Amino acid sequence: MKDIALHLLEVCENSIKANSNSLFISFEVFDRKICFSVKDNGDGIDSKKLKSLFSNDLQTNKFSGRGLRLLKNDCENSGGKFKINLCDKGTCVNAEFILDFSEKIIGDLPSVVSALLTEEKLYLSFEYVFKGKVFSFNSTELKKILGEEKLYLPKAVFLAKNFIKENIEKLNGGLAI
Amino acid sequence: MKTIADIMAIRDKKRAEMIIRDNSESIAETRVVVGMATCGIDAGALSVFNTLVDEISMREIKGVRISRSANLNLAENNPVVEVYAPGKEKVTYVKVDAEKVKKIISDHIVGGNVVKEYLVK
Repeated sequence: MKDIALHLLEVCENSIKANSNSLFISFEVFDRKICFSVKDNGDGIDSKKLKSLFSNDLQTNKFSGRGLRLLKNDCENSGGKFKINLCDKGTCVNAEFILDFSEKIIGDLPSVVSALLTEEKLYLSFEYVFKGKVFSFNSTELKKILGEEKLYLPKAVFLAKNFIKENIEKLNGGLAI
Repeated sequence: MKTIADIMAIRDKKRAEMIIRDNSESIAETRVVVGMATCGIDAGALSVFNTLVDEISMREIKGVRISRSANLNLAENNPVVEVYAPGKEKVTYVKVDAEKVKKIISDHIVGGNVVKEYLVK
């Protein structure tokens, strides 16, 4: 399977494509479990399409939603669960992997989050929880920390990436991600 | 690896520059977009994006904004990178990797010359 950070990136790209301007990302590492959830305020998926998304009908499934199907498979193959719920405004995706913590399995989370921050007019809230210890920020706070409003400037992406990386490593207890 | 103190130091050093830049809003920017659809991600779009960020910021190249889009997807030609230089037509690079990105930055974004061998054949 591909790493979990890349799965997260795909879910968030779907949200942005569905006209979301607000994303709440939570990523949590437990002793033997790794989970993430993404809540957006986008157009959502209608319930009929949602059903067909995970059906085995290859004809309807050929082009769209491949990323979500792969994510569901990877979650379930690990023994974990995958859930996608429609809320009154937007979609909520929950992915659970029954896996031991390793940097390889998680992937490059700081790059994924800093890349998403380049989306103009997107409010992003990110929370990383490592065995109960929490690191969180949102895009409004980050702009203040970096002293830069334009998170699409390469220098801002670079600084944001390092800021996230440093904080995640601190929580992981020096284990590099 | 930068600590938060280093980042703050860079920020302070850069703040003056940022203020100057913010006052010159009208200066045309080159926009670079990396395709982040499922196929693009599978083909390595994130590492292309990372190389763009690292190279442009390390080399302190000004006037560039970068973003990603799930709407940019060219099937077997992924990863795709589009360059919108001010006053020029859009240029689409295909099957881009970290090495190709470095050449696109040097030759096209800095030098203004399109790297013809990386365009769709």
